[in-house]
Amino acid sequence: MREGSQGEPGSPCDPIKGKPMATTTARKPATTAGAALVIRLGAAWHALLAFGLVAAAWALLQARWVQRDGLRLYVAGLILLGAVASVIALVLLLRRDGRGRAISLGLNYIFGVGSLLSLLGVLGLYISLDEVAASFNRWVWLLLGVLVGFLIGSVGDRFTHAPTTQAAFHRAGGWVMGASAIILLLAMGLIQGVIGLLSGLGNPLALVLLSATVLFGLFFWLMLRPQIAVAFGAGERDAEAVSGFLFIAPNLLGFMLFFAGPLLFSLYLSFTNSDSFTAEFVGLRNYIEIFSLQFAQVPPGQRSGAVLSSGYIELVRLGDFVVGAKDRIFWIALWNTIVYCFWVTMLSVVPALLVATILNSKIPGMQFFRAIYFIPSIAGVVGVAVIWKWLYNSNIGFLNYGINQVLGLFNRLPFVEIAPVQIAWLASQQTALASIIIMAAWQLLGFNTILFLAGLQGIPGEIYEAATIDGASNLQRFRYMTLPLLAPTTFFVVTTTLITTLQVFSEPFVMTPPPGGGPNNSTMTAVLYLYQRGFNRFEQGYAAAVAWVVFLFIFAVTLVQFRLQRRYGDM
Amino acid sequence: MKRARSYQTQKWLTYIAAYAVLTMFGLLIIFPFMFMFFTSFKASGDVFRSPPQLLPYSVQTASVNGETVPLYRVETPEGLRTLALVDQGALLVIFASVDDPSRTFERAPRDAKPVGGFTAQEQITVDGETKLLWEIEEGGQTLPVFELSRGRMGVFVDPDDPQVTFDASLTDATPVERIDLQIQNYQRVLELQNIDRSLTNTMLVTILVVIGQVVTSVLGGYAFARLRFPGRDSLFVVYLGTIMIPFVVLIIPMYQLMVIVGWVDRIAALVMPWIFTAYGTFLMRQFFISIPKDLEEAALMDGASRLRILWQIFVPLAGPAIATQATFTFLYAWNSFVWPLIVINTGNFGNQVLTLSLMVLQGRAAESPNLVMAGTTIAVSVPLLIFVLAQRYFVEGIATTGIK
Repeated sequence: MREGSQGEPGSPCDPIKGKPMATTTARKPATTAGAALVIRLGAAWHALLAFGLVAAAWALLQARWVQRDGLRLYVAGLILLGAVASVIALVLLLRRDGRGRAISLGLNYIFGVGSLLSLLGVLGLYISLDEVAASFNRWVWLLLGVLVGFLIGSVGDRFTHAPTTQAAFHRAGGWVMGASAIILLLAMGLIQGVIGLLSGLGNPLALVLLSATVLFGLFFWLMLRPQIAVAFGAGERDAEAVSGFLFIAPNLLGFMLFFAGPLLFSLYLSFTNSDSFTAEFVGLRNYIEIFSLQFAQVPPGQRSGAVLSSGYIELVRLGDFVVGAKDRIFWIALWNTIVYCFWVTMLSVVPALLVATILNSKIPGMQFFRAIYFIPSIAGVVGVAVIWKWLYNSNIGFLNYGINQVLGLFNRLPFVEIAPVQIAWLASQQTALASIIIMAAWQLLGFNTILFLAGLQGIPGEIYEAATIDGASNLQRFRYMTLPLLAPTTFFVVTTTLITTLQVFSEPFVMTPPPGGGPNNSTMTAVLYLYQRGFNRFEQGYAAAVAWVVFLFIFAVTLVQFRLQRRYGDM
Repeated sequence: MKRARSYQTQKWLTYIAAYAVLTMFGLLIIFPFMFMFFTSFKASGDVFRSPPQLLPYSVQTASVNGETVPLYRVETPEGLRTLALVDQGALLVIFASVDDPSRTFERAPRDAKPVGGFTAQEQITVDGETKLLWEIEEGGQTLPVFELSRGRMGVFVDPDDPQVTFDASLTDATPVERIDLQIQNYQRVLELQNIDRSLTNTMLVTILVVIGQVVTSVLGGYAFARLRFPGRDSLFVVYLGTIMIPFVVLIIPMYQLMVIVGWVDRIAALVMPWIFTAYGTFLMRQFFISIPKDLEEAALMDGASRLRILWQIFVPLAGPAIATQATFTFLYAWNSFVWPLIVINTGNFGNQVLTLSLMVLQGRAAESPNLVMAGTTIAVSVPLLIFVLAQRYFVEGIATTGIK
């Protein structure tokens, strides 16, 4: 398919109008005989592709063995969309329209990557990660070489005054790291693995996918040829656009596959009664069930069950009034989540601001404290929750011990006599949520402190000097200068803390043992409830609806935050 | 002169106050980890001590006639001595006389008879507490008594001279203890739960996710920052918007997707969905946009490809930004719990990650906090080590990305 030299211009084409990408519209595109052949071949390929896609969509719609109706329609729709795009590409290619080339490139790329990924799947690459993990376990000690290389490289950082020595150390460290990584890969059986994968090519499905990959790749490559680009009058900017799409493509495809697609699918699921294998469309039933509330007046001396309709359970009783809900636990979970979110935000943001202010007073050893405060964020929620669970133990836990030690100090004062306490913490309905709140605030405190500290260090010191000369006191400076100047940081800290805490799951799941929820649902949170409905009872349609409600709630909170920020941002 | 000194004093006072607050706060932060670390070295008999003790202690032992026996501090006629307990001895009940509670008697349980028989034993009230009434023989006559406490009469010997024996109540003897690290706890926890496999799984998953995220976000960030293509800016806005969408909404459809693809219980499910990130792409784009354009224009003139420009000009400049993103991703991947919990769900222990193993271990070793803490120490130590090595990127990365 080698093109000859820049031959004479082919038959003149229509002047290309309204092409968004072309910059060289003034010049009529020159087409060689080879380019014309390639374009005709490309058009034929798109005709074939469109036909094949329609057939595939039809086959999928007929396939009764695929149980998921919604998903089947979804995928079939996507395939038909591809077929339509292929027909459009065909027409536009024949009319020498630059958009045809763009669509053709896009289709060939997407389907090429798709068949390559499927080919890898058929060859068993993804599944073989399990074996990779097993042999990694055996050979992991070779990673020590990487560590040694890293250390050699960081020794070089000490020679900032001697650049050649520094570079030598960096290079040596790099070599050691690279060599150990390669040795590790070889030891783990990289070569055998590749051979094993290639031997899977005997499978007919693999062969089909392989040839599809090759064909898509070939036509993609052909359309990218300079001669073809010239034939379509594509210029510098089009080349830039193509590379732009190529660079964003891995990210964008992953985003579509693992984010946008599931997001839409989730919305669909929330209108079904999916149990993860079958799904029936039920309309708004899940949402109605979630939001079913009933307000009623209870005559004195009567039980609330008498006034609530069947299916409704008492949620809360305020004097003569009773509120009933169909899904009582959802409302309890939502309330717990709000309480948790409020207290964790308060307890982790306010002290963090104070500690950060102290840390910012440029005392020696600041870095040391900063590093210490960061440790809980590294340890992760599960590890921390496991530790705190024992600190909360009512008999042997350090928390009760510490409280009693402090009470003991007070008891030394005259006329004070406080009996030692034995708080049940996680085991009691009254204190379980509070226990989790204290732990979560503790974990977020250090992180927020570091965020505030960074914000404080961004405030130039000269501003304070001026204020000091004007006679402002420490407190005045904090109130009228630090706080307003720190507002963007505060906004960021509060928003991230709110969004994180509204999704709380691991803390109650680990600390109040599974299935979780704590004594009398006292630590049931929204996401924990979602998990229970979705994965313990496999009511995934209902759980998806709960997820969307939680999401909209988080969204609303964030929106309010933004509004507040805009209003008070520059106070 | 005087003013200067008072200023100096004030400065010192401020320093002391600041350090006091920072240290207290630091202790508060670090204490749970100290608890974790020391508990992981405790003997199983040492963990349920009340009041609790931070450091791991165990009873000191001596060898007497070839047997290993515990050492106690015992009150002997010659004063307080360190002796070895060779015989636990018989159960011993200390009774107090009903007529005169200060008179106590030590008896074996069978030497006391219940007043009114075992089925309808009489009771008395002493200091507001109801006690059972017993009879014992004392000096040839029966005496009504109640139980004060129980203990054991142990037989102690001098560890240096086993011929010298002493009888003493075990309640009065205090064990001789010293700080002792039970390193075998780590061995035991590896036998109980495959923490080592989970550790390497977590490492592998984290490494793959970090590499994948860095690659895709460097490529995407460069495209957003430098390359003009149709729909770029609206696509970027969509990317920004998705950062706001919580993972909660994706849990169920992603699980179903994994079921369809056949990745439930597979390592692939822990890696593949996580190597694409809108947030990382955004961070990289912000960094690349700050790099002056003249650098690449010269290279473009020379006909260098975009990929080469990215690799030879942008990536070396973006070192700190990439390191920051890598550390963020590392923390996220290492500590992720919800997704592994959902997708590694049929007890396939070979593919578990640390967070899951800890969760299971917590249930299995519910009565051995020392083992649970040993597992937690293993889980926490690797990120901690990396934190010590790459502290700069962690803290400064958070500081720079937090304040956009």
